Amino acid sequence: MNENQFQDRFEDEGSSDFERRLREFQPTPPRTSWEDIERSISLDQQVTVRRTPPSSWSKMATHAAATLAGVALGVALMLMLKNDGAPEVVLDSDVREQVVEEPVDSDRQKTTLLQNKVAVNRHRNSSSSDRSVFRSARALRSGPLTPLHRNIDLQPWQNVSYDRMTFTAEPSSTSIEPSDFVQPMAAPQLLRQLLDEQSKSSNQRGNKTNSG
Amino acid sequence: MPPSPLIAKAICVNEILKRLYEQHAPALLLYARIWCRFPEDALQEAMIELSHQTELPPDPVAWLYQAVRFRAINLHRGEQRRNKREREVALDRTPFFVDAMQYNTDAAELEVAMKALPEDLRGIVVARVWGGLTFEQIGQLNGGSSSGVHRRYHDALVKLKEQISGIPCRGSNNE
Repeated sequence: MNENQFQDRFEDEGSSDFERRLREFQPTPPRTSWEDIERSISLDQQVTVRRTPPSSWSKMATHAAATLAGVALGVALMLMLKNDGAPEVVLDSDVREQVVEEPVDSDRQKTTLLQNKVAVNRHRNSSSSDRSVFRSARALRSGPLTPLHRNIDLQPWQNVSYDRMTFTAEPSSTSIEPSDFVQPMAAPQLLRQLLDEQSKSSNQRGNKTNSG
Repeated sequence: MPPSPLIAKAICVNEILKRLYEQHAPALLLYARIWCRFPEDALQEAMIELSHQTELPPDPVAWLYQAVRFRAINLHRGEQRRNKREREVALDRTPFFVDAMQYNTDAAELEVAMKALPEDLRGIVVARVWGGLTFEQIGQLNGGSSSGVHRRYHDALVKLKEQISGIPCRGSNNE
Protein backbone atom coordinates (compact mmCIF):
# COMPACT_ATOMS: atom_id res chain seq x y z
CA MET A 1 0.00 0.00 0.00
CA ASN A 2 1.54 3.25 -1.10
CA GLU A 3 1.13 6.83 0.13
CA ASN A 4 -1.77 7.63 -2.25
CA GLN A 5 -3.68 4.55 -1.20
CA PHE A 6 -3.31 5.62 2.41
CA GLN A 7 -4.62 9.04 1.49
CA ASP A 8 -7.62 7.54 -0.30
CA ARG A 9 -8.49 5.51 2.73
CA PHE A 10 -8.34 8.63 4.84
CA GLU A 11 -10.60 10.47 2.47
CA ASP A 12 -13.09 7.64 2.75
CA GLU A 13 -13.07 7.71 6.49
CA GLY A 14 -13.11 11.48 6.73
CA SER A 15 -9.72 11.44 8.48
CA SER A 16 -8.15 13.95 6.09
CA ASP A 17 -10.53 16.67 7.30
CA PHE A 18 -9.54 16.04 10.82
CA GLU A 19 -5.89 15.94 9.77
CA ARG A 20 -6.28 19.30 8.06
CA ARG A 21 -7.92 20.72 11.17
CA LEU A 22 -5.08 19.47 13.27
CA ARG A 23 -2.58 21.11 10.94
CA GLU A 24 -4.28 24.45 11.54
CA PHE A 25 -2.98 24.34 15.08
CA GLN A 26 0.47 25.76 14.98
CA PRO A 27 2.96 24.30 17.42
CA THR A 28 4.47 26.83 19.82
CA PRO A 29 7.68 28.18 18.26
CA PRO A 30 10.93 27.89 20.21
CA ARG A 31 12.06 30.82 22.35
CA THR A 32 15.55 30.29 20.99
CA SER A 33 16.09 32.28 17.81
CA TRP A 34 18.22 31.13 14.89
CA GLU A 35 20.86 33.71 15.92
CA ASP A 36 21.15 32.01 19.32
CA ILE A 37 21.54 28.62 17.67
CA GLU A 38 24.13 30.04 15.27
CA ARG A 39 26.08 31.51 18.18
CA SER A 40 26.06 28.24 20.07
CA ILE A 41 27.20 26.36 16.94
CA SER A 42 30.12 28.75 16.43
CA LEU A 43 31.06 28.52 20.13
CA ASP A 44 30.95 24.75 19.94
CA GLN A 45 33.13 24.78 16.84
CA GLN A 46 35.69 27.01 18.59
CA VAL A 47 35.87 24.54 21.48
CA THR A 48 36.25 21.66 19.07
CA VAL A 49 39.05 23.44 17.24
CA ARG A 50 40.86 24.05 20.52
CA ARG A 51 40.50 20.41 21.48
CA THR A 52 41.96 19.02 18.27
CA PRO A 53 45.47 19.81 16.99
CA PRO A 54 45.35 22.47 14.27
CA SER A 55 47.64 20.77 11.80
CA SER A 56 49.26 17.50 10.90
CA TRP A 57 52.68 18.32 12.35
CA SER A 58 51.27 18.70 15.84
CA LYS A 59 49.51 15.36 15.41
CA MET A 60 52.86 13.84 14.45
CA ALA A 61 54.56 15.49 17.43
CA THR A 62 51.94 14.13 19.80
CA HIS A 63 52.26 10.69 18.26
CA ALA A 64 56.06 10.78 18.52
CA ALA A 65 55.94 11.91 22.15
CA ALA A 66 53.51 9.13 22.99
CA THR A 67 55.73 6.58 21.26
CA LEU A 68 58.84 7.80 23.11
CA ALA A 69 57.01 7.70 26.41
CA GLY A 70 55.89 4.15 25.65
CA VAL A 71 59.41 3.01 24.80
CA ALA A 72 60.82 4.66 27.94
CA LEU A 73 58.16 2.98 30.05
CA GLY A 74 58.94 -0.38 28.46
CA VAL A 75 62.67 -0.04 29.14
CA ALA A 76 61.99 1.03 32.73
CA LEU A 77 59.71 -1.96 33.23
CA MET A 78 62.30 -4.33 31.79
CA LEU A 79 64.98 -2.93 34.11
CA MET A 80 62.64 -3.19 37.07
CA LEU A 81 61.80 -6.78 36.25
CA LYS A 82 65.45 -7.62 35.81
CA ASN A 83 66.37 -6.12 39.19
CA ASP A 84 63.43 -7.70 40.92
CA GLY A 85 64.10 -11.16 39.51
CA ALA A 86 67.76 -11.28 40.52
CA PRO A 87 68.30 -9.38 43.77
CA GLU A 88 71.70 -7.82 44.04
CA VAL A 89 73.58 -6.45 47.00
CA VAL A 90 75.71 -3.39 46.44
CA LEU A 91 78.87 -3.59 48.43
CA ASP A 92 81.05 -0.81 49.72
CA SER A 93 84.67 -0.98 48.65
CA ASP A 94 85.96 -2.00 52.09
CA VAL A 95 83.28 -4.62 52.50
CA ARG A 96 83.98 -5.92 49.03
CA GLU A 97 87.66 -6.27 49.90
CA GLN A 98 86.73 -8.04 53.08
CA VAL A 99 84.53 -10.42 51.19
CA VAL A 100 87.16 -11.06 48.59
CA GLU A 101 89.80 -11.67 51.22
CA GLU A 102 87.61 -14.08 53.06
CA PRO A 103 88.33 -17.67 52.03
CA VAL A 104 85.39 -19.24 50.25
CA ASP A 105 86.58 -22.75 50.32
CA SER A 106 84.28 -24.41 52.78
CA ASP A 107 81.99 -27.04 51.34
CA ARG A 108 79.05 -25.90 53.41
CA GLN A 109 79.24 -22.38 52.01
CA LYS A 110 79.36 -23.62 48.44
CA THR A 111 76.42 -25.89 49.10
CA THR A 112 74.39 -23.04 50.60
CA LEU A 113 75.07 -20.78 47.65
CA LEU A 114 74.06 -23.49 45.23
CA GLN A 115 70.90 -24.16 47.21
CA ASN A 116 70.04 -20.48 47.14
CA LYS A 117 70.49 -20.28 43.38
CA VAL A 118 68.28 -23.29 42.87
CA ALA A 119 65.78 -21.83 45.30
CA VAL A 120 65.57 -18.54 43.43
CA ASN A 121 65.02 -20.29 40.12
CA ARG A 122 62.40 -22.54 41.63
CA HIS A 123 60.68 -19.57 43.19
CA ARG A 124 60.43 -17.76 39.90
CA ASN A 125 58.53 -20.67 38.42
CA SER A 126 56.34 -21.39 41.46
CA SER A 127 52.91 -20.22 42.53
CA SER A 128 52.27 -18.13 45.65
CA SER A 129 51.12 -21.13 47.70
CA ASP A 130 54.23 -23.01 46.67
CA ARG A 131 56.29 -20.05 47.74
CA SER A 132 55.01 -20.00 51.31
CA VAL A 133 55.73 -23.70 51.72
CA PHE A 134 59.01 -23.22 50.03
CA ARG A 135 59.96 -20.34 52.33
CA SER A 136 59.40 -22.52 55.39
CA ALA A 137 61.44 -25.33 53.93
CA ARG A 138 64.20 -22.96 53.00
CA ALA A 139 64.26 -21.46 56.50
CA LEU A 140 64.66 -24.91 58.02
CA ARG A 141 67.32 -25.92 55.57
CA SER A 142 69.52 -22.88 55.44
CA GLY A 143 70.33 -22.49 59.13
CA PRO A 144 72.70 -19.71 60.21
CA LEU A 145 74.20 -17.41 57.63
CA THR A 146 77.48 -18.27 56.05
CA PRO A 147 80.56 -16.12 56.74
CA LEU A 148 80.33 -14.57 53.29
CA HIS A 149 76.90 -13.07 53.99
CA ARG A 150 77.54 -12.24 57.58
CA ASN A 151 80.05 -9.55 56.77
CA ILE A 152 77.75 -7.66 54.41
CA ASP A 153 76.31 -4.66 56.13
CA LEU A 154 73.29 -3.48 54.11
CA GLN A 155 72.12 0.08 53.87
CA PRO A 156 68.61 0.80 55.22
CA TRP A 157 67.18 1.16 51.75
CA GLN A 158 68.54 -2.23 50.91
CA ASN A 159 66.50 -3.86 53.63
CA VAL A 160 64.92 -6.82 52.01
CA SER A 161 62.78 -9.56 53.42
CA TYR A 162 62.34 -13.23 52.70
CA ASP A 163 58.99 -12.37 51.20
CA ARG A 164 60.83 -10.89 48.24
CA MET A 165 62.92 -14.05 48.15
CA THR A 166 66.23 -12.40 48.81
CA PHE A 167 68.40 -15.18 49.99
CA THR A 168 71.74 -13.52 49.92
CA ALA A 169 71.38 -11.07 52.78
CA GLU A 170 69.45 -10.01 55.85
CA PRO A 171 68.60 -6.45 56.97
CA SER A 172 71.44 -4.60 58.67
CA SER A 173 69.51 -4.36 61.93
CA THR A 174 69.75 -8.10 62.34
CA SER A 175 73.29 -8.49 61.06
CA ILE A 176 75.29 -11.05 62.94
CA GLU A 177 78.82 -10.39 64.07
CA PRO A 178 81.50 -13.01 63.52
CA SER A 179 82.15 -13.06 67.27
CA ASP A 180 78.70 -14.52 67.85
CA PHE A 181 79.81 -17.75 66.30
CA VAL A 182 83.58 -17.78 66.11
CA GLN A 183 85.52 -18.02 69.37
CA PRO A 184 89.21 -17.58 68.47
CA MET A 185 90.40 -18.21 72.03
CA ALA A 186 88.36 -21.33 72.53
CA ALA A 187 90.91 -23.79 71.17
CA PRO A 188 93.91 -22.73 73.35
CA GLN A 189 91.73 -22.64 76.45
CA LEU A 190 90.35 -26.06 75.75
CA LEU A 191 93.84 -27.30 75.04
CA ARG A 192 95.08 -25.82 78.28
CA GLN A 193 92.21 -27.41 80.15
CA LEU A 194 92.93 -30.77 78.56
CA LEU A 195 96.64 -30.44 79.38
CA ASP A 196 95.75 -29.50 82.94
CA GLU A 197 93.45 -32.44 83.28
CA GLN A 198 96.07 -34.73 81.75
CA SER A 199 98.75 -33.43 84.09
CA LYS A 200 96.41 -33.80 87.04
CA SER A 201 95.52 -37.34 86.12
CA SER A 202 99.18 -38.22 85.50
CA ASN A 203 100.08 -36.69 88.84
CA GLN A 204 97.38 -38.70 90.53
CA ARG A 205 98.54 -41.82 88.73
CA GLY A 206 102.16 -41.08 89.84
CA ASN A 207 101.06 -40.56 93.37
CA LYS A 208 99.23 -43.86 93.35
CA THR A 209 102.26 -45.73 91.98
CA ASN A 210 104.52 -44.02 94.47
CA SER A 211 102.21 -44.87 97.31
CA GLY A 212 101.79 -48.41 96.00
CA MET B 1 36.96 38.97 -4.71
CA PRO B 2 34.89 35.76 -4.46
CA PRO B 3 35.08 33.79 -1.18
CA SER B 4 37.20 30.64 -1.02
CA PRO B 5 35.41 27.30 -1.64
CA LEU B 6 35.57 26.42 2.05
CA ILE B 7 33.97 29.69 3.14
CA ALA B 8 31.37 29.39 0.39
CA LYS B 9 30.52 25.88 1.55
CA ALA B 10 30.26 27.09 5.16
CA ILE B 11 27.89 29.88 4.12
CA CYS B 12 25.83 27.41 2.13
CA VAL B 13 25.63 24.94 5.06
CA ASN B 14 24.70 27.79 7.37
CA GLU B 15 21.87 28.83 5.05
CA ILE B 16 20.55 25.26 4.88
CA LEU B 17 20.64 24.93 8.66
CA LYS B 18 18.87 28.25 9.07
CA ARG B 19 16.12 27.25 6.63
CA LEU B 20 15.70 23.86 8.31
CA TYR B 21 15.44 25.50 11.71
CA GLU B 22 12.97 28.13 10.64
CA GLN B 23 10.75 25.65 8.83
CA HIS B 24 10.80 22.72 11.24
CA ALA B 25 11.72 24.06 14.68
CA PRO B 26 8.14 24.31 16.05
CA ALA B 27 7.21 20.77 14.97
CA LEU B 28 10.56 19.42 16.18
CA LEU B 29 9.98 21.13 19.50
CA LEU B 30 6.57 19.50 19.75
CA TYR B 31 8.17 16.18 18.87
CA ALA B 32 10.83 16.59 21.59
CA ARG B 33 8.12 17.46 24.13
CA ILE B 34 6.93 13.85 23.97
CA TRP B 35 9.98 12.71 25.91
CA CYS B 36 11.47 15.62 27.82
CA ARG B 37 10.61 18.78 29.69
CA PHE B 38 13.38 20.82 28.07
CA PRO B 39 12.66 20.35 24.36
CA GLU B 40 14.58 23.45 23.33
CA ASP B 41 17.77 21.91 24.68
CA ALA B 42 17.15 18.77 22.64
CA LEU B 43 16.51 20.82 19.52
CA GLN B 44 19.58 23.00 20.03
CA GLU B 45 21.81 19.97 20.57
CA ALA B 46 20.40 18.31 17.47
CA MET B 47 21.13 21.43 15.41
CA ILE B 48 24.70 21.55 16.72
CA GLU B 49 25.09 17.86 15.92
CA LEU B 50 23.87 18.49 12.39
CA SER B 51 26.42 21.28 12.00
CA HIS B 52 29.17 18.78 12.95
CA GLN B 53 28.32 16.48 10.05
CA THR B 54 30.97 16.53 7.36
CA GLU B 55 28.31 15.79 4.76
CA LEU B 56 24.71 16.90 4.91
CA PRO B 57 22.49 13.79 5.48
CA PRO B 58 20.46 12.68 2.44
CA ASP B 59 17.22 13.38 4.32
CA PRO B 60 18.10 16.17 6.76
CA VAL B 61 14.52 16.57 8.08
CA ALA B 62 14.19 12.88 9.01
CA TRP B 63 17.74 13.02 10.39
CA LEU B 64 16.76 15.97 12.60
CA TYR B 65 13.69 14.14 13.91
CA GLN B 66 15.87 11.15 14.77
CA ALA B 67 18.50 13.34 16.45
CA VAL B 68 15.88 15.31 18.40
CA ARG B 69 14.31 12.07 19.56
CA PHE B 70 17.63 10.64 20.80
CA ARG B 71 18.55 13.89 22.50
CA ALA B 72 15.14 14.24 24.11
CA ILE B 73 15.29 10.67 25.45
CA ASN B 74 18.79 11.31 26.81
CA LEU B 75 17.66 14.53 28.42
CA HIS B 76 14.71 12.73 29.92
CA ARG B 77 17.04 10.18 31.48
CA GLY B 78 19.09 13.03 32.90
CA GLU B 79 15.95 14.65 34.22
CA GLN B 80 14.91 11.47 35.95
CA ARG B 81 18.15 11.47 37.87
CA ARG B 82 17.52 14.90 39.32
CA ASN B 83 15.54 15.24 42.50
CA LYS B 84 11.80 15.88 42.57
CA ARG B 85 12.03 19.45 43.79
CA GLU B 86 14.31 20.50 40.95
CA ARG B 87 11.91 19.03 38.44
CA GLU B 88 8.91 20.76 39.90
CA VAL B 89 10.67 24.13 39.89
CA ALA B 90 11.84 23.78 36.31
CA LEU B 91 8.57 22.35 35.05
CA ASP B 92 7.88 23.50 31.52
CA ARG B 93 4.50 25.26 31.45
CA THR B 94 4.65 26.30 27.80
CA PRO B 95 1.44 25.32 25.97
CA PHE B 96 1.73 22.84 23.14
CA PHE B 97 -0.08 24.99 20.59
CA VAL B 98 -0.75 28.61 19.78
CA ASP B 99 -4.34 29.25 20.82
CA ALA B 100 -6.74 28.80 17.92
CA MET B 101 -10.06 30.19 19.11
CA GLN B 102 -11.58 30.31 15.63
CA TYR B 103 -12.15 26.55 15.79
CA ASN B 104 -14.54 24.65 17.97
CA THR B 105 -11.73 22.93 19.71
CA ASP B 106 -9.22 25.14 21.39
CA ALA B 107 -5.52 24.47 21.71
CA ALA B 108 -5.71 23.48 25.37
CA GLU B 109 -8.20 20.71 24.59
CA LEU B 110 -5.94 19.40 21.85
CA GLU B 111 -3.00 19.50 24.23
CA VAL B 112 -4.91 17.42 26.76
CA ALA B 113 -5.93 14.98 24.03
CA MET B 114 -2.33 14.74 22.80
CA LYS B 115 -1.04 14.10 26.30
CA ALA B 116 -3.54 11.27 26.68
CA LEU B 117 -2.03 9.45 23.69
CA PRO B 118 0.68 6.87 24.21
CA GLU B 119 4.20 8.16 23.45
CA ASP B 120 4.70 6.17 20.25
CA LEU B 121 1.36 7.29 18.79
CA ARG B 122 2.03 10.89 19.75
CA GLY B 123 5.37 10.71 17.96
CA ILE B 124 3.74 9.38 14.81
CA VAL B 125 1.03 12.09 14.84
CA VAL B 126 3.51 14.92 15.38
CA ALA B 127 5.92 13.65 12.73
CA ARG B 128 3.09 13.18 10.23
CA VAL B 129 0.78 16.16 10.89
CA TRP B 130 3.21 18.93 11.88
CA GLY B 131 6.51 17.47 10.62
CA GLY B 132 5.14 16.51 7.21
CA LEU B 133 7.11 13.25 7.17
CA THR B 134 5.92 10.38 4.99
CA PHE B 135 4.85 7.07 6.53
CA GLU B 136 8.01 5.51 5.14
CA GLN B 137 10.19 8.11 6.86
CA ILE B 138 8.32 7.63 10.13
CA GLY B 139 8.71 3.87 9.73
CA GLN B 140 12.47 4.30 9.42
CA LEU B 141 12.44 6.60 12.42
CA ASN B 142 10.63 4.10 14.62
CA GLY B 143 12.03 0.95 13.04
CA GLY B 144 8.73 -0.29 11.60
CA SER B 145 7.01 -0.77 8.26
CA SER B 146 5.11 2.06 6.56
CA SER B 147 1.85 0.07 6.66
CA GLY B 148 2.27 -0.52 10.39
CA VAL B 149 2.92 3.17 10.91
CA HIS B 150 -0.19 4.03 8.90
CA ARG B 151 -2.34 1.72 11.00
CA ARG B 152 -1.06 3.24 14.21
CA TYR B 153 -1.48 6.76 12.83
CA HIS B 154 -5.09 6.02 12.02
CA ASP B 155 -5.65 4.64 15.53
CA ALA B 156 -4.06 7.75 17.01
CA LEU B 157 -6.33 10.07 15.00
CA VAL B 158 -9.38 8.12 16.08
CA LYS B 159 -8.33 8.38 19.71
CA LEU B 160 -7.69 12.10 19.34
CA LYS B 161 -11.12 12.64 17.84
CA GLU B 162 -12.70 10.75 20.69
CA GLN B 163 -10.78 12.76 23.22
CA ILE B 164 -11.76 16.07 21.67
CA SER B 165 -15.41 15.46 20.80
CA GLY B 166 -16.15 12.89 23.43
CA ILE B 167 -17.98 10.77 20.86
CA PRO B 168 -16.53 7.41 19.79
CA CYS B 169 -15.60 7.47 16.11
CA ARG B 170 -16.26 5.03 13.32
CA GLY B 171 -13.33 2.60 13.02
CA SER B 172 -12.29 3.04 16.62
CA ASN B 173 -10.74 0.01 18.31
CA ASN B 174 -12.75 0.75 21.42
CA GLU B 175 -16.04 0.24 19.69
